Amino acid sequence: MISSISIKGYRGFENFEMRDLGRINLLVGTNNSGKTSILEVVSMLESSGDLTRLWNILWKRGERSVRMLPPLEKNPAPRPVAEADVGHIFHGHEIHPGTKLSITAKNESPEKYLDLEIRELAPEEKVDPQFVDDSDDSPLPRMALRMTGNPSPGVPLVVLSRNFGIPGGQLRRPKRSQSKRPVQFITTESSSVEEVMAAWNAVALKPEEKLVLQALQALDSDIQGIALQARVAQQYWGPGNRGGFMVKLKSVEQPVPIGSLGDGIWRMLALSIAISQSKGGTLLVDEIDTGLHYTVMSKMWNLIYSAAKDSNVQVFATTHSYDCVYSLAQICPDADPDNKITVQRIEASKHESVPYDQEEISVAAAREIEVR
Amino acid sequence: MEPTRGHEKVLIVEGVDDKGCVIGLMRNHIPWEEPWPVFIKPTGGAGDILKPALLSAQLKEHGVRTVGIMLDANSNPAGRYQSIRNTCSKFSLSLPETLPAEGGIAKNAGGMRIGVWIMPDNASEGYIETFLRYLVPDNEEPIWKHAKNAVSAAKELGAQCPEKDIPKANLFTWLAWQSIPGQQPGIALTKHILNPRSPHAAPFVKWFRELFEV
Repeated sequence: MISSISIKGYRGFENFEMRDLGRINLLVGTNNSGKTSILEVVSMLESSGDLTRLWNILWKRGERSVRMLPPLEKNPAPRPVAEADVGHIFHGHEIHPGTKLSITAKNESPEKYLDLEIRELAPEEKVDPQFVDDSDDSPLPRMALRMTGNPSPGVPLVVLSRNFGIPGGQLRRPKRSQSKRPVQFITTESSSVEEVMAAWNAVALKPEEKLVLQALQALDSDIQGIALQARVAQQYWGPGNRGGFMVKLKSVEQPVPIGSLGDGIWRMLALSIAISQSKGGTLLVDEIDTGLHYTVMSKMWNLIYSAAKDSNVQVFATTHSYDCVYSLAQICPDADPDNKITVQRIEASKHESVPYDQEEISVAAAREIEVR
Repeated sequence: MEPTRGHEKVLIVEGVDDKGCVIGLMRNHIPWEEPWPVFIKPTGGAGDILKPALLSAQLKEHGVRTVGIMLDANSNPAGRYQSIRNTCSKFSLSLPETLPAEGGIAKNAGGMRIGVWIMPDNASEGYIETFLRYLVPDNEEPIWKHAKNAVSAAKELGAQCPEKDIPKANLFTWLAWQSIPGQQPGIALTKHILNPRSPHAAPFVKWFRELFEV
């Protein structure tokens, strides 16, 4: 588990430290204070700079563009190429050779870190056209994103497009093999039907399916089973459905669509699948309270805490909700010292977070002290 | 219940009665109207206030710049003070080694302020009632003495009041005989049954005004 993390030059964080981290870490703070950025940072560090992950981070933020390449002689079909704009992850939004960001985690030795730096390609460094969509004859040096770290990143050098973007083609490059720690990043969009259906495939008929069912039962003890129904003529179903997940309730003879049970169950489904997939790794959840009523949040925290302990997962989540902090406080008195629970307040102008340990969280909830 | 937000200045007290006393006293010295100059927070008693986690959580509360602590000395004013002083030192708030008679105040480079007042006078054993005794108007002294004697007499007849709570018994006995009988001390201060302008109240008032800059 990471016990403290140092961020230099990532987005709004020129120089920032977060200490006293534990098994569960709930990040609070005003809008735009950087809570989601911290999740991104942990995600990148724990995946050792996985390029696809970086791409997804930029893509989800809309930091991307699509260009049309000139049509080929033989085939006039449109050739769109996508690229992710890497400039915005660097503090100050501007990049030039030497621009750098650095993430360091201090836990057991050896120290884990990830550095990203912009540099020019040397003349002898060739650009492989199959991975870059705009190889041209311009004499100007190309820029590249250099990734170093411990463990070593899979793709140490990413050639950038002329617009300082990461060309989609770079994702096709072979990566150095590295042992992968599972890192699950759940955002409010991850509760999209497609993502949950895809995630379900990793769980169905495996031991994890039982854990997912237990998680749903903690919210509604009437649930006896869950299955993904194969749909005939899928293309006519249209959007706005729950993908065909059906649930068997004790009190109802026929299986019912999961949508009949409301958003809380759906959110729990997404979360519990994610937990089951992050054994020995990290679970990141943005706006963890989304769609959950305060009566359900304590159960959710209980589930997450025991699952995190059992599966050795470190959890980072963000929230704006008082109920979410209050519900977390309810499980603090029984938390054990080797599996700490912390709340970290992030304030834009400060160089470190304000950490609350489990005792302080309990007391703050009981005595109406505003931690957010 | 969600916390009341948006206050920069907080005074932590043992209970709602203490809160009433402070408001009853201070409203005679500074304007006491919305938005309240200081947010007074009752806790579950001295045990709560002396919990390091409570004080540190309070010092970390979002938006809070000044924290005051008022509690009874009971039988251990020095010990209680040291416990608070230790927690404060972790926030670079260096309270003096011994609590001065005028109350303790400290601030740090980050702009946080902390203040400590241990009833009755930052040195003696006792309670807020010990302090309030001295706000009995001068002309009431004979009646006060009578109240004291009545409590002693009751004790000899077997009244259950513990020895340590005699100051409280004295005060409430005297309050029972006032123009509006049985008022809480806070109301008594508001209505000037107890004298909020007594010179004996001055050190506390001065500490309060200096700490909270009001």
